[in-house]
This record gives sequence, C-alpha cells and structure tokens, in this order.
Amino acid sequence: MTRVDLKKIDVMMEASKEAVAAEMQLGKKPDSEKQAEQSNLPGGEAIAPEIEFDDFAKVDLRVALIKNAEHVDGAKKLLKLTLDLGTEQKQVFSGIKSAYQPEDLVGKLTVMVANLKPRKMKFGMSEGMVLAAGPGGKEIWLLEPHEGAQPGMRIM
Amino acid sequence: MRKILVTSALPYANGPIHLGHLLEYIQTDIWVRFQKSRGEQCTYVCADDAHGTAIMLRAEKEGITPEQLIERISTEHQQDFSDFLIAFDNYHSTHSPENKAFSTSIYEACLADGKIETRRITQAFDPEKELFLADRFVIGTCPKCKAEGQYGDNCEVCSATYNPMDLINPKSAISGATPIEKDSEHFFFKLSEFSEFLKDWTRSGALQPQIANKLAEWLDAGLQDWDISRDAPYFGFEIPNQPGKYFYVWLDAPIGYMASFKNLCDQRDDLNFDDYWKAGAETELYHFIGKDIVNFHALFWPAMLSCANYRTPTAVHAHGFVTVNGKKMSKSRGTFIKARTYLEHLDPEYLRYYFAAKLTSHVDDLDLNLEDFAQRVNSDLVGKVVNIASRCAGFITKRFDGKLAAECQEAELLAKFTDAGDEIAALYEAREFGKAVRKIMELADLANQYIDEKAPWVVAKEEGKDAELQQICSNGINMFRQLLTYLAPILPSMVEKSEAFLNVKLTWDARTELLLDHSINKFKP
Repeated sequence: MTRVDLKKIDVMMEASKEAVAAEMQLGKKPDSEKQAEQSNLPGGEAIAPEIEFDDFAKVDLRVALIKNAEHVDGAKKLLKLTLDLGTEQKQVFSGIKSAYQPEDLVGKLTVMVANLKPRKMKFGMSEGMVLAAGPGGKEIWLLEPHEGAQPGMRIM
Repeated sequence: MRKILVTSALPYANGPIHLGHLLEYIQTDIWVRFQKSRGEQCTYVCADDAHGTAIMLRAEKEGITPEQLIERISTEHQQDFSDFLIAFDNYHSTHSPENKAFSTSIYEACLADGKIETRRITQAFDPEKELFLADRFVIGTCPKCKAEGQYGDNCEVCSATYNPMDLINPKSAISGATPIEKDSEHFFFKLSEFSEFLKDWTRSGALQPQIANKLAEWLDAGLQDWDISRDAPYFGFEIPNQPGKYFYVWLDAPIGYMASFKNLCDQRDDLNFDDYWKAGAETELYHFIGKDIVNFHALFWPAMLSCANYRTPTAVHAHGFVTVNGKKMSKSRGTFIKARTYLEHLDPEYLRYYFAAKLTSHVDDLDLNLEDFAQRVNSDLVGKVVNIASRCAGFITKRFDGKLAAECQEAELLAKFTDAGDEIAALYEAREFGKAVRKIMELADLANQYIDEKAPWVVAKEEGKDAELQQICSNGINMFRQLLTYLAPILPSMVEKSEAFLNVKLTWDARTELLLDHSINKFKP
C-alpha cells in the first residue's frame, strides 16, 4: 500500500462537484439556440465525456428516406418530415426550416435516431430526430449517406 | 462452527452507490470476513431494491422499461461493490420469482391470520398522469409559514406537518398538474395487534439500546396499522386476487433478504433455507441497516415474520450517517461523492480502513474528514504497518536467501502479539472496529519500537552478526504477519499481497504458529 496522495483527494472532490453539475445539466432541457450562439466556431464545443460502447449502441440510427417535407402552420423553426424506414414511416418535427426548403429535401436519404422516445410537441407527436451538423440558423447541414444505402439500414 | 446469515440493506435501484451507502457495506463486509477468517459458516446476501413509483418514473423519463432500468443499475451497483471489495455470497433482485413467491405467501399467511384489512383512504391524485401521489410527490406553499416549494408531508422551513392537500397551491411534482383528492381501497397490515409481541421483541437484546429506547416511545404512543398496498400504475408485485393493487415496495424489500438467500440455496448443497428461516431456527440472522430504516426492520419485519411463522432476526445492527468534513453529504456543497468517482482516484482500502478505524457498535454518525483520512491512512498503514516489512524483508531476501530464522528468541514479545488476538476478536465480534484498530496499532507501535531498538541496519554492517540480524528481521516479519492477520477483514487486497509475500495463508487460528525456518518472497510495498 502506498501513501494517500492529497492532490488526488482534491481531484476527487472536484470530480464529484462536476459529476453533480453534469447531472443537474441533464435534468434541464437543452436550449439549442443558446448553445448555437455560444459556439459559432465549427467544432467549437468541447468533446463530451467518454462513454462506453454499450451506451452508444443504445442509440438506434437508421437510414431514412425523406418521403415528404412540409411547412407547419404557425411554426417558425420547424419542418414536418415524413421518414420512411422501409418497414414503417415516422413523423418527425425538425428545427431546420432556417436552412432548408421542403422541396429540397423530398426524395433524399438522411440519418435518423429511430428509437428516440416519441415526444409530444405543440404541433403533434415527433417520433425521432434527424441528424444535422452546424451551429444553427442558415448553418445547418443534414447528414446524407453515400449512394447505395437503403432506407431502414442500421448505422453503426 | 456457527451458522450465520448476514444482510446489508438493499440499495434502491434508481441511482448510484455513494460513500454514504458504502459505510454499511464496508461495515458488514468486515464483520462477515472476520467470521469467515475464524472458520464460521457465514453467508452474506444482498439484492437491489427494484420496485416502486420512483423507479417507474425514472424509467419512463429515460424512455426505457423499469426492467431495463433495474438491470442496468444492478450491474452498476455490483461493479461498485466488487471494486470496494465487498464480497457478497449472493446478490439478487427484489424483482425476482423467489421474492414474488415469498411476498405472496407471507401476505397470504397474514391474511389467513386476520391481520390484513382493507380501508378506503383519500389521497392526492395527479389527474394528468392518472396516478396517486405519495406525500413527497406533492409540492406547494407551506400553509403555516408560507414557505414555497415544500413537500406534502412537512415543511423544511418551519417543521410544520400537514396533509399534502393542505398545501397552498399544491402541484404534482411529476406533471405540474394540480392534484385532486381521490378515494381508493388500501390494504393494511394490522401492526397494532403486534404491540405486545414487539414490546418484548425490541427488548430481547436484538436491538442496540439507543434503538430500543427510540422504539419504546413509538410503542408507548401506540402503533398505527401499516398501509401495504399501492394502486396501479406501480412497478411491483400485484396483490393476489386484487387486480390493480400492488404490494408497497417496503413490504417486499426485506423479504428480498429471504429471496436472495433462497436463490443461493438453490445453487449450493451446503445451505438449507429452513435452517435459517424456519420458526425456531438455531442459526444466527443479522441485518445491518442505516438508522433511517429502523421502523421497517425492527417493527414491521419481525411482526410479519412471526405472523407467517418464520424466525425473527437474532439482531438488527443500525449505524449512523456519513458526514463529509463535518457536514451532511450534499450535492450543492459538492460533498456528494459517488463510489465510482472515489474509485477513479483513490484506493478502496483507504476508505475501508478509515471507516473501520472510526466505526463503533453505536448509531452515531461518522465523519469522513478528508484531511484526517489521508493523515490516518498514511501514518497507520503506510508509516507503521508497511514500514515494519519494509525495514526487515530486504535483509532476509538479500542476506538469508529469503529464509526466516529457525527459532525465535523473543518468545515473550511475540506472545504479546498472538495473545492480543482474543481481545481483538471480541472487539470485531461486538462491531467495535475502531477499538480493534486501535489495539492493532498499539501492537504496530510495539513492533516498530523493537526494530528501532535493535536497529538491524546497524547490525547488518557489523562483522559476524548474521545470526542476530536474521533473528531481528525474522521477529519483525513475524510481527507483521500477526498484524496483517488482524487487519485481514478490513484490508482483503493488502492481505492477499501479504500472503504472497509471506508465503502463508493468514487465518486467525494459524497465527499462533510462528513462521520459523520458513521461506518468504520478495516484499513489494
């Protein structure tokens, strides 16, 4: 047995505070607009803490065909997307209106989180989310798989 | 050989293990390891406490089923325990077939004995989530002092107690909706009919005096019957023939001890369930718990057991809470330390030693003062105990080919070490770990004093004093061996390394035979 390193106690106490802060943060709803303002550099956000592979594997990502995209009455930021996963279709409200016109999207493939718990939004149920990069506003880029991928394929 | 079954309270499966939990598991594990090192048949079982509204809601929030949640948490809990060297003989779950069977049969026995009755009660109900709300799930303004954000049972500002619907502007903590009052039929265990039985049982020696006195106040004031049912939606076991009614989590939680043990008996030939649980069983049964759950273990539990014709516990051992640097563990103060966070930075045996050094058989709180923690571990374990081996082992290895002297010329001194074992054992047995540690450290001081006086590093440089050098160092090593034997329940990993170094198994009884003409291995501190 070796001596207790006092510095390590300090580090542990700091880590405990951070763990609590991270937990509190989790409880709050993310404010994507605010985050977009804070980090207007590409990749300006710090890499999130390390996770286990199992944690990643819980997220079921699928190739989705954008069957339909339309404006939503009264919604300033949202487009309503109908996504085809081969075996089923899902309706997703996505905050990409500032960067895309509905007609530009129909017929394209993209990536969606297929097992996200459906969420009741003001304009109806949203049954997942599509993946996009960028800080927001005009700078939103939807992900699109290389040619050949089929709707419903799992992405790992 | 004694036959002993030991339990620690079941951690709730909706959050991580933290240092407050660990006091209990470390305390219990030390006691169990002590019994095992003495050759007793001691079995240590535990389980995750996996039922209730909080778990149902948390799973819902995470978008998974309660079963998925409790499975994940159980894996995390077991990893934390195992890394803190807590050696359960079995770790099960209250959401198990065994537990369902026992909960059902115990309930049915109480029902047949006329100890269950139904009553209509009025409760706060969340109309949006369609769910009855426990008092803690209603939040509002205190009707007395007008403090905002108070729970539905009592005010943390003025300590007033009230019913949740008395709050001004009550809200459901789950949905934010305004709760309504609603009637429902509940099942009650008629605890009041066990008053005489419990007055005797709580004074039978099964409880610490402090606890028995506290319970006497309640017993004298008269016991209330215990509400053992909850309405759907609830994650738990449905009450037989009562659709939509579930056992309250605290009914099936202690039964989880039996379930975990049954699960173990089914895997082992040398354990028989009835030997440990049948009424009149002569084996010993101990529950280690925190002082906050005494009423469940020292009132409801023995009453239920006796009603269903099972044995009652030999004793219930309650401990106090952990404070950090003199204050209650708190998230906002940054003193809420998770087991995992600790493990990422510090050796689990440091904490095991520190808790042991401060534990008593009483119910007092235990302060983890981090400065004292470092100082204590460094001075006792590293400065005193490890130092003995460090100062002697090198000479034995280099000058005597790893061989200890063939005879001991300090028999009287060594006898002090072996003789102390009985007193130390009695202290462990009585859960006076702090006193045991003090006694062991007195011996360590004695050993260091001996080495200081004999100064082997001086003798080593003198011509023709090889035999003397070997004597001194062999005595030092033998004393180190005694100390590690006594510390074994507290420091399992250090003991394992020492066994490799000393080339001998460290058991309580074997200690009386000194290591003479015995080969040891190289010492790695």
